[in-house]
Amino acid sequence: MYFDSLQQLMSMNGHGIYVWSSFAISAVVMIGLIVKPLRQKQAAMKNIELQIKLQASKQAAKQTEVADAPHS
Amino acid sequence: MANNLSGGFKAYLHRDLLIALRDRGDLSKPLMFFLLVAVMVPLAIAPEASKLSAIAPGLIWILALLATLLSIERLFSEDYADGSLEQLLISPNLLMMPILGKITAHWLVIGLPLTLLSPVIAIWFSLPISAMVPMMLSLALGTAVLSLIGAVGAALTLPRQGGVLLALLVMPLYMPVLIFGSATIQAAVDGLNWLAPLAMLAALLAVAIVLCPLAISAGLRIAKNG
Amino acid sequence: MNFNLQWTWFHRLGSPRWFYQKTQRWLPWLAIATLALLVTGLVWGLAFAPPDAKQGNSFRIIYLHVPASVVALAGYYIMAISGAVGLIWRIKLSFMLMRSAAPIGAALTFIALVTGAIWGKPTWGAYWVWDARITSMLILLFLYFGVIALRHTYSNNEAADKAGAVLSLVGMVNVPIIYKSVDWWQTLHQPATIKFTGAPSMHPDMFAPLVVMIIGFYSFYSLALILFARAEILRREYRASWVRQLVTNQPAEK
Repeated sequence: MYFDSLQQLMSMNGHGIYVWSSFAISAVVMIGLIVKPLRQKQAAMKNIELQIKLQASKQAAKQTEVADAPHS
Repeated sequence: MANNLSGGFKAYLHRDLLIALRDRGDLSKPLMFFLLVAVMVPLAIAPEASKLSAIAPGLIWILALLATLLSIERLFSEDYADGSLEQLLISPNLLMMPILGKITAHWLVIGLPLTLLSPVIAIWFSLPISAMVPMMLSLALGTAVLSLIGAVGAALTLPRQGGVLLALLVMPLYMPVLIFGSATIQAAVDGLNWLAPLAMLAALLAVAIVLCPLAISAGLRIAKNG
Repeated sequence: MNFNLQWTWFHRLGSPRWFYQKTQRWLPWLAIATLALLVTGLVWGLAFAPPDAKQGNSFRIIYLHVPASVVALAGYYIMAISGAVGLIWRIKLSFMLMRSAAPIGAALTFIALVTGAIWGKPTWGAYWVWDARITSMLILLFLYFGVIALRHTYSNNEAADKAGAVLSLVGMVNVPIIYKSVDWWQTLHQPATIKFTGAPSMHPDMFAPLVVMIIGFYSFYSLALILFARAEILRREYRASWVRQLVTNQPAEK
């Protein structure tokens, strides 16, 4: 390692604040780039699930309607 | 065939010029804007000749850019609204020539008057007389490129009628024109060789004339279905 | 016959289903590789590489700034080329990749700009200097914003895809012109400021971690692109039976 201690690694002769803040901002943005599509995917999945359920209930309603038809 | 091609060019050039000349009020608005913003500059910054002449080369170009941007939105929107654009799109002829005709008309109505008006601003901002000719040449060539690139944006934003979106799309693409345009004037002011940046503007114009109509016709076809 | 054989891969490649199922298997490996490369490059660059003679330790920002800039610029070409492929061969997947590439490219451009600004403070004494490379990155950011903004103006997906492809192609032609003209503009106005350390003059001990970081950023880019594209596929192909099966069979998959 180039630095003698962890403290020196953090401070980098006064330049630490620049280096580590760049690092932190990049890390936040890059984690965001991974999290966002995963969330989008989950939302899309939920949406599709909902649609399938909706369709199923519609179909069930139709079937009962057909079944009810002769009675009324 | 050749006759047909140039015919499309001439017909649309003629038609758009007629429309523009019919309502002259609309025609003069971008020019008024050009002059009005120029008046604001000494009031906002300082009336000293030295300060004004220092920023004038860039400023004249920014003003020309904004004035062109203001007017380019209407290039296709009226034809789109009244259905004549649809007619153009379904006609078997090539789209290039009518598009180039319309853009030439736009330049004659906006770019050329801006160029002719620019000496007024140059005098207001105490630019040396020796810089007049390079300035007008750079504006004449550069506003043509601005019209061509702006037309791409106008075609792509047609379903939403341009507006701020058009400015957002087109302005980054305007940067090279802005750089070489203001550099031409600056070089003339400093007594340097201003032909080099002017030649770059001419090169940009050549590239834009070839490529922009392709993008515009693709954009118009897409916009029709959008 | 032979012709048919050769082209089946091409059509399979264009199928969202094929892409979704293939990438399912690639993803874990790609994620591990990305993480390993980025961690190696950063630890090497931040803790082991020697500092720059003139700039001291602030030079270590290069390990974020340069890879982000390189990939952000390449990302614009990737976006435009996938748009062109979509326009020419009418491949849906290609448009989905184009759409996914825009936010990633914009985010990487943002990283390049912010790290460049932070780097500027110890190097030039100011957070913002109109340096050619940073100015070009700023214009690139607005080019990305334009492509993203254009998307939201079309209600029809197909038209939005095509319009985005045309705009990114126009941008692609313009990017080199913009870079060259900004470069030229800079030589005109600002002679000889301290330049950010360029690659060729770098010491191998400094250069090696940079290479690792650049590869790491490319790998990260592909990972993010695949993740965005997979979400896009689910959003657009919601009517397809294989997507419905996917949802009903394994609702736990997240």
